[in-house]
Amino acid sequence: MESLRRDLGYALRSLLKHPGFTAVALLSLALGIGANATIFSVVNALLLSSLPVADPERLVAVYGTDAKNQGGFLNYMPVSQPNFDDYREQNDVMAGMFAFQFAPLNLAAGGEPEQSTGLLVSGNYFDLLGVRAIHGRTFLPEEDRAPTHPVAVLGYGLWQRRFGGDEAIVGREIRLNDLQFTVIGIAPENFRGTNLLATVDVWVPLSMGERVTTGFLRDYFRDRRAMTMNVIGRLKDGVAVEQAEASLKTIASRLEAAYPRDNEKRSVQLIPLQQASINPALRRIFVNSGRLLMGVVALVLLVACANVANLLLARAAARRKEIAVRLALGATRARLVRQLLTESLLLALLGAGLGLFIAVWGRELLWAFRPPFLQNAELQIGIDWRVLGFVVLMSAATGLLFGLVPALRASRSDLVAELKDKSSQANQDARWWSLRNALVVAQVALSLIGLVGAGLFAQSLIRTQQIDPGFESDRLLVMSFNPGAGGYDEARGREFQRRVLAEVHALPGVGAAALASNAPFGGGFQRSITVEGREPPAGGRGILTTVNDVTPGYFDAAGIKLRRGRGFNAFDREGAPHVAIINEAAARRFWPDEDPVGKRYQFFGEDFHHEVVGVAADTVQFTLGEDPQPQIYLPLEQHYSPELTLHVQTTGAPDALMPQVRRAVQSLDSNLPIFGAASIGQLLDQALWAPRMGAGMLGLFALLALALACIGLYGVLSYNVAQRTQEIGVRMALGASSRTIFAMVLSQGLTLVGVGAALGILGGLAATQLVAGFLFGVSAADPLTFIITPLVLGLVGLAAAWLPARRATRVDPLVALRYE
Amino acid sequence: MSGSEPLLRLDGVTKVFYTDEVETHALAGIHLEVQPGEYVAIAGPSGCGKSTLLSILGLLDSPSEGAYHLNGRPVEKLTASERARIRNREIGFIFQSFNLIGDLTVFENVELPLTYRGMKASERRERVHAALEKVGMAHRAKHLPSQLSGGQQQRVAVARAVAGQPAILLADEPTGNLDSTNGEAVMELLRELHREGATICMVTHDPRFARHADRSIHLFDGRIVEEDHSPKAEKELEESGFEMN
Repeated sequence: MESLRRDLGYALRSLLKHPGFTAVALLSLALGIGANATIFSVVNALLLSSLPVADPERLVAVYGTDAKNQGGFLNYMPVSQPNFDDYREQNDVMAGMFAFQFAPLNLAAGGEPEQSTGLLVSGNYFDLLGVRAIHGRTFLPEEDRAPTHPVAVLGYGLWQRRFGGDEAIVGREIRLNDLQFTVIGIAPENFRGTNLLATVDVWVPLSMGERVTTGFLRDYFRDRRAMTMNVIGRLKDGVAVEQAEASLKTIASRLEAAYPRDNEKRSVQLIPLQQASINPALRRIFVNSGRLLMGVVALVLLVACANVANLLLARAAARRKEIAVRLALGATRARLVRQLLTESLLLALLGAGLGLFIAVWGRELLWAFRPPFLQNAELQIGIDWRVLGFVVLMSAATGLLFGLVPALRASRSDLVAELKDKSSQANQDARWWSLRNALVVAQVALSLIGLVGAGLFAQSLIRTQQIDPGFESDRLLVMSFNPGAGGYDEARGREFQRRVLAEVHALPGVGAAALASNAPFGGGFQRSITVEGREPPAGGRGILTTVNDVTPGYFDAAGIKLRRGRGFNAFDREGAPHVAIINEAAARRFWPDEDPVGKRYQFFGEDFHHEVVGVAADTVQFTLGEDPQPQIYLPLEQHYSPELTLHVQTTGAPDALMPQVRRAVQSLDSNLPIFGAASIGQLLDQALWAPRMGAGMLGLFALLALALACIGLYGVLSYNVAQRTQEIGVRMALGASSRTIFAMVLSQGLTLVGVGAALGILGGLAATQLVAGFLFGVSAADPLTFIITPLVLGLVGLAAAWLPARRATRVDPLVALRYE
Repeated sequence: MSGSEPLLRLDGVTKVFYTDEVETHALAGIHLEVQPGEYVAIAGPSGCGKSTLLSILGLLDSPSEGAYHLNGRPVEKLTASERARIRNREIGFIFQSFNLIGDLTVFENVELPLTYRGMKASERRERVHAALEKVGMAHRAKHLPSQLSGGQQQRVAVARAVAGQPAILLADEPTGNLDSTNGEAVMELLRELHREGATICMVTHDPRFARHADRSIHLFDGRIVEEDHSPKAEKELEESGFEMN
């Protein structure tokens, strides 16, 4: 212990005595470890952290599946409420099950009206999760049985934000969607629901669902076909997930047989809640992105390690005599290696400490790159024990990685020669195949891999930016509101819609305005359709297709081109023939090689047909670069929707008109919350998150790796020039010109860069295959990228080699020949 | 020469260096004994193998052939860690270029071999103080080597060599980097240590300093070509009943 303390003390003093070395090494390590800690802290928060509930490992998420609609989020659907009731009553594997459904709730209490995130939950929700109210109570079983209990539990954040943490709010009434609710309790601060990415503001009993929901949520609330309920169950003791899944699948089969019209090819799958606190389809995206980023930062760390190893080798060379003396005085090789490794580990730990500071700052930066659908998510990205453990382990591994070889090498000293100052090690270090040069080659190769990745993502970003979203991408602003949640019935709601359009149209600077049930990039409600003449077997369902209810001016206001047929007009109202406009993807899907105008289809569950009167251009529904998805537009006059997005095409900058449009809407109802207000430019910016994050992160880390590699190259060449001073002096004495000497050193540097670049190209070709799935419009083996990035690297390498080469030409032969 | 067990004995020690395809015979069939308390000088021209001989005696290098006994124990085939242990406990080195560690204070430099021995801190402190007192450098214990003159540095190196109370002191041109005044002072220090009973083996090319030793061994081309005793030593030997050639 004493010798360890001594080693530590010596190591610390040694680092302090060589501030230049220590600063460069610490900076390299801090950047490498900091980058890793940053990414890991986000990965930890998203993928590894547990929910603050009792025995979370016994909780499972129950997802609905539909063999007719698969892929992505469709593999992890909710289940319908009647089916949930049957699963709950008929299973013998769960200690309990609860359902919940997100519902936007207009809150009119404690300040300006706002749309809060509401969660309709079964009465046993809190009990089954093992969560207790910090003030008041949670729901009673009877409060789940009939819609006669307008009670609410407030989230801690909302309680603090809107009510200043006043405990007296318990027992008082608040208005949610124009209904009076009694606050019965406050949830704990750390409990924000079972979805990591959503913070619940207020919980209300599911029994109140049909009274507080609006639109299709209300229409399909108790429909066995509508997959609207998220379900979580707590496994009975001794029951495994697979066993429970088999049991629920058996019930699903019975339900399919009993209700074939609604449940054909539908079943369930169970996933432990620990892996389902983010929707598994989204989680997979995070996992893949996390892997990519962890890979990139590991690359940066490797470059940093190579840098520090190179510095340590240089330092070990300078310390050869000291090490020889220690060995001569009786230190064993193991003892010396331990001492040198102590220095490396101390360096790594100090680097990790600085890296943690970088991580604290970096995680905010990284989270700022999150996708648009997570803009409102309040993820707690903390530096917890797991992050600290990761950093400590990583720094220990890093210390060993960069410290072991230099330590072993240093301890293999030629004692006699070193003690007599006659070492040949210096000459060995200057040779081009030395370990130090190999490390520089590795750094250059790793940097090139990073640069190639960044180049590919940058090209991908450019290609994505060039995508035509299918709608106006400059002078358009949108904002959403939900009159239904404000207590408007259909008649009042329709009147409100008409007045909003009239008010907005009257504003100067407005070119066109329209309402739609869907917002840009927001997807929409999906319904299954069957084409006339191609009806599936009796009772069967059709293909899920996004439906967007719009007012007549929608295509002009949103800037969507009509390819064929006509748009909606004032005659497409209630009582008139049901008409629809489809997009080109729907035309290709349902009427390939035919003119769809005049064709008819039917929505599942309806007994009448809609006639296609027009074909519109495809538009992006969720994200730029997606394959065009079928979409059907319906006249809002024929299909009332209580929640709407106002689309306003402006004649000038949309941001400038935003306050006037907002005021115009609020002048009609100041209690109606407006949400999702944005210019199309802002929405497009958010939609570019994936390629921008990829290009930004990879670019940042690749530049970091490149900078570290350049420092390494510069360091090695400078060291070699210093070691070869005498040789250079001899060469000059024998007649070598400055130009010859300059070329000699420069060519040595460029040889290292060339070898590294060649290896980097090979590595890049292999590594970029792993990111092919993230790229848009550019091949993972894009020739342009693989030509330009090595050239860039070569130029930077040239700059790094220039100074040492210049220094070599300034060697004075007279001085050099006396040089020892 | 003597009936007592020698402290070190070399029998037919040969050292060959191989560089590329060239063989260099640095030592050839060296036979040498050093008695406890003896002061031996190894002299010879540059390149004669004297430093190689001292390196083998100090277990910094191994013979290509022949046997080496230290304190009656064969040591020519020990492992690296066993050799390190013997160097640490039984041998004290004094180098021409002092070889103090620049980052350590005078105290820490002298203490260094004792730390490798696992000695208690209190005992180390006592030994270091005693050694520094002996060489007159106790007042500089907290200084760094760079703050000392060459002569002072060599005195610290002597203190480091004697602090562990080794069986033998090996000095390799201890005055080679010193001016005459400082060189004489260091030689006086060695003489004093010898008077106190230390066994010393010193490489030197300076005949003035070789004369301080009890016995001088002259090397040439890796062989012992001459061995002579100082007048004082001869007298002592004759008084002991030894016949001198």
